[in-house]
Amino acid sequence: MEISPFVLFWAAIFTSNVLLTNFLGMCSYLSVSREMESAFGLGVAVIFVLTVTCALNWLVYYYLLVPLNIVYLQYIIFIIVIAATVQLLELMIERFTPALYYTLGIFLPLITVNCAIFGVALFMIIRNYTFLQIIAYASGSGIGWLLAIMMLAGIRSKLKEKLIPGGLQGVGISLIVTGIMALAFIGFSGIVNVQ
Amino acid sequence: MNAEQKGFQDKQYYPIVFMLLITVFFVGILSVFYRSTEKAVAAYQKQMYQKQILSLFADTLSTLTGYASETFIDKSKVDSNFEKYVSVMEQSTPFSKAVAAQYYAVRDADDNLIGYCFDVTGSGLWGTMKGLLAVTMDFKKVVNFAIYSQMETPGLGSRVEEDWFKHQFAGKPFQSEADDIVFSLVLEDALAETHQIKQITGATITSSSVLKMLRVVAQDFRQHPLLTPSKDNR
Amino acid sequence: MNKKDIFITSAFKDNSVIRQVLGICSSLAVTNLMLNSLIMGLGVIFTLVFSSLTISLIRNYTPRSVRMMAQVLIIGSYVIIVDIFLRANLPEISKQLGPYVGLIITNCILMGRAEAFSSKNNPVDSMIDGVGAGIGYTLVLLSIACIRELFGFGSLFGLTILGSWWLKWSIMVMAPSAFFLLAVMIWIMNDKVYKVKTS
Repeated sequence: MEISPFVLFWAAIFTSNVLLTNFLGMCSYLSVSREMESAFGLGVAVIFVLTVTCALNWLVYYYLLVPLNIVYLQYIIFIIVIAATVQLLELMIERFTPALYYTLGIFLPLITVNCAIFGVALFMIIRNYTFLQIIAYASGSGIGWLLAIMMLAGIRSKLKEKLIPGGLQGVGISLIVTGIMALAFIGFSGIVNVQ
Repeated sequence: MNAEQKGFQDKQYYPIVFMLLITVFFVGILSVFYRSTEKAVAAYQKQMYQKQILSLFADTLSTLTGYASETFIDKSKVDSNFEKYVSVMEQSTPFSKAVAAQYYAVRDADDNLIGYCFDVTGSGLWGTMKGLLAVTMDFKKVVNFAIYSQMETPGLGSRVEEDWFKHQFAGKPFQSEADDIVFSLVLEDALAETHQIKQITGATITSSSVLKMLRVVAQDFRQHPLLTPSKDNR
Repeated sequence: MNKKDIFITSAFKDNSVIRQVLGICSSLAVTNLMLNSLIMGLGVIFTLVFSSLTISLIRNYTPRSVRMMAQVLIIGSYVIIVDIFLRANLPEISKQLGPYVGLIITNCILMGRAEAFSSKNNPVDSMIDGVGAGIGYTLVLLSIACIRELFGFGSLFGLTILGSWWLKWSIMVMAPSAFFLLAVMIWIMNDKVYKVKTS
């Protein structure tokens, strides 16, 4: 498709936000948005993983799977590439910023099954993106995810939790806030074509 | 676990060996499974595709030949019917990205041309949509239209494959000498005029994507060699 | 813990969606129709059973550093085997399940159960835990879908319940409604069933 990578980049952040428009990457988003610092750390990790794995997966798909006629293995190969990249990232973070490593806890390895990353990789295949397009779209999606989690973290830090009914604290109110944000983002739909 | 096993596991290279082993094991199982079903799946998909083409012309063929419409889409007779009534043609000069080069000419029992069927592509909300467009010989009217491949939201956009949505297009005008024919969307519960198509409730983008696909195809068809006066119709 | 306790815990006491906040993405996507929820739920249960079994069987040989990669490989393989099997033998159902294959592979519940239970317990217990988690997940999905389909389409499992006099609630057709419904469900469950104290 002839969509400019520049347009895709901005569309991925705002009008086709991977989390608020496509609803991918929810689990870690809901749980890590309690504090803004860990949310930021996780968001940056997601940007890194998204861009690197989508680039790798694009190369693997078009230069390995297609020529060898083993396209049916694409799900397995993609998820292994993602898992390996996350494993590498985990080692790096443990070595260089141990504080972030302990705050993120289980959610760092859970980036592996973050549907946003797998979903963007699948989008790139069904929408036939070129390499430049996917770099733009993947990095934009990462930034869009970071934007969404920071928004929720910011809102949660302002919410006086003790005013919220007990059962609704934490996940409950996060879901409602996200629902309202998603409704707002529906206003963006159709503005920019991403395929 | 005895001490020997534990010793082996502590070696540096053990994780790599382990990953390689289970990767080979599972990929092997998958490959065997896939290859053993590949032919059956491909044959089934081809049969469905041919059945779809026949079904687009089922009513027309029924009127012309006198057989009931159901006989043309009978699963057991798809192969023989396809051979009898449809010829596969190839467009040598590509004229559109939205229309596949291979198309189908449908004839009746006496070998008279009834119409053509084209494989058209467009983008939907989530991914690519593919459809079969059956038109009359002069391209003026749509005989029938069906989407056969889509990735839209299950239960919403995926309803483009439902019969009521597809049958809306039967008999609609496709091309005219003057302007491009443009369809517009109306609500699912409303009445639709000639140039209106009922949308799927809750799936506006998917519905408009279908219309956009047809609009692009209609525009591209102006360059189709079969329509250019100098070439003769086959 | 005996077998019954394991099941009750993973299905209800420690419900994957309500208590552990896993499997949210799919809860939003498939709950527009009860049929979709059921298909997704069955796919998840099936994959959970087999992946829990396999991961538990090799748990003593799996090195810590690559355990996530191994788990993800095993989970992905089973999902694709199901997909290929359906495509070859039950093509109609395969068409329904098709869009969800990717969603099942990345369903955090599968990874979550593998990490939390299967990698530390024996195969039979792991399978029971898997079935429990899957059933708990399916029940939550069906509950949300019940409301969404009833108010959004006027039907349940495709059978029209509310006639054409019912003005369909468009919001129920859109994904954000799942956010609100899930939030309310968590609220009710936390208050009444789990008795979470107000902090």
